Amino acid sequence: MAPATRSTRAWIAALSLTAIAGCATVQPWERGTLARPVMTTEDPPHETAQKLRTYSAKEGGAAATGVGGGGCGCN
Amino acid sequence: MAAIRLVSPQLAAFTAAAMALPGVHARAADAPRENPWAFDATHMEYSESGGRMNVRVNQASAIIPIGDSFQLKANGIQDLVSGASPIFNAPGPGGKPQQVLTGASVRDNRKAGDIGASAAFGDNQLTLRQGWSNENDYKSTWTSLESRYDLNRKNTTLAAGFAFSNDGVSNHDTPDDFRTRIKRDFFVGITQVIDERSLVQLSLEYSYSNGFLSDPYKLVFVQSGGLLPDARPSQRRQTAASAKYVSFIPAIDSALQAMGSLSTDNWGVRSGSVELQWKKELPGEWLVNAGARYYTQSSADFYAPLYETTPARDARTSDYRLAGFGSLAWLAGVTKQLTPNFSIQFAAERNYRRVGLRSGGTGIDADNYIWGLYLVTLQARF
Repeated sequence: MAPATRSTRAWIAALSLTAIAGCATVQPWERGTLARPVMTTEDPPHETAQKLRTYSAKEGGAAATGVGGGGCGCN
Repeated sequence: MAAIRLVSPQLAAFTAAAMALPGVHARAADAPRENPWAFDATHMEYSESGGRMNVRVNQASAIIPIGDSFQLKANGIQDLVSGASPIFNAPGPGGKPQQVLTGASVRDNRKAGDIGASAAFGDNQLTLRQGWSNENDYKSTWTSLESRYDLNRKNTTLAAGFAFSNDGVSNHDTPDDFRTRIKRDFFVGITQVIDERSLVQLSLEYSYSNGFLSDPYKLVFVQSGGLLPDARPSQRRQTAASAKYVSFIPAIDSALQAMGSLSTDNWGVRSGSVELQWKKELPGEWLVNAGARYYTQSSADFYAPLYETTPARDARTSDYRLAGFGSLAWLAGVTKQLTPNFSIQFAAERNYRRVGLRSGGTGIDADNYIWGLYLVTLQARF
C-alpha cells in the first residue's frame, strides 16, 4: 500500500481532534436552530446521488461521500 | 440485542405536550410521523456542450417503516444515454491535439436498482443494501453495510461503512466478453455539533480497485505507431477526505455551508474541491439555496494527450477525465413544501471545465467543455 501523504495524515489528525473535542454538549431544547431545514448536512438523497455519480463519471479524483452505489460505464 | 424504539419517551412526552397547545393539533395530525413512509420520484436532464452526451434519468425510491425501529428501502433508476463521446486525440493543425468523437452513435439504456434494510438498536443504526446495475456493456453487483452511532447526547454521530462491487465490462465489438472489475470502499466519518448554530462533518474514505480498469472505448494516438487501446494499471488505491461546515448566521437569517475535499491515488491523480452554499427559508414554506463549486485535479502519471512513441510501461491513456484540469460551477435549488406531506424540489448545476485550472500535470484546451444538469423531485412523507 502506498504511504499516506502529508495531507491524508493531516485529515486523520483533524478527525481525531474533532472526536476528542466532541465533549461540547448542546441540550435538546437548545437545538431549535440546528433543527431548521437549512441546517441539514445532507441534501435530498436523489439530488445527492445524481450529482455524485456525475462527478464520478466526469472527474478523475475520488470523494469521501460514504459507501454504496454501483459502477457504470459512464462516458 | 433487543430493538429499542427510534422515538424516545422524552420526545414522545414533549410531542404530547406540544399537541395539547391550541392550533397545533390540526396541523400535526397531518404531519409525517417520526419514522415515516417515504416516496421520492425524480427526473433529471444532463447535457454537454458541443453536441456531446445527453442523459435522461428517471429515479424512484421508497422507504417502508416497520414499527419504530426498522425500515425497508427500494430504489430504481433508468438512464437513457445518447450522443457523442471522445475516443482519442489526433494531431491537428500545427500538431495541436484535437478530440476525435464517436459521432452521435452512443445509445444506451441503463437500469439499476437496490434494496436495503435499516435497523435501529438504541443509539446505533445499521443499514444493509444490495444493488444491481445493467447496461449493454457494463454490469455491476454491489453490497454495502453502513453503521451510525450517536453519542454525547446526540451531539456526536460516528459513521463507518464498507462496500464491495463486482463489475463486468465489455464493449460493442465483443459484447459477450465481460472482464472483471472489483472495488472495495472503506468509509469512516464523524458529525459534531459545535454550538447551537453550527456543526461540522469530517469523512475519510479508502478504495481499492483491481481487475480490468481500462476504458474499452478509448484509444491513444502514438505518432510512430498509430492507434493503441487505452491501458491502465490493474490496481488503483484511492484515499479521499472531506470536511463540511454548516453555520446559521442570524444577521442574514440564513445558513452558510462550506465543503472541502482532497484526494490522492497511486495513478498520480490528486484532486481538491471547495464548495460554498447559501441556504435560506422564505415565507410560505419555501427554501432556496445557491452556491459555487471549484474543482481541480492533476493528470495521471501515464496520461498524455498524444504519444510520440509507444510507452515503455504498459500504461497509457488520453482519457480527458485523467487529464489535468479544473472546473468552476454554479449550483442552485428551490424547495416548496406543498402540504405537510408533499414537497417539490428543483435543482440545477452548470459546470465549466478549463485546462488552465489544473493543479498539475498536463491537459489540453480541446478537452474544455460545459455540462449542465437540471432535476425535479417530488417527495411524499406520511
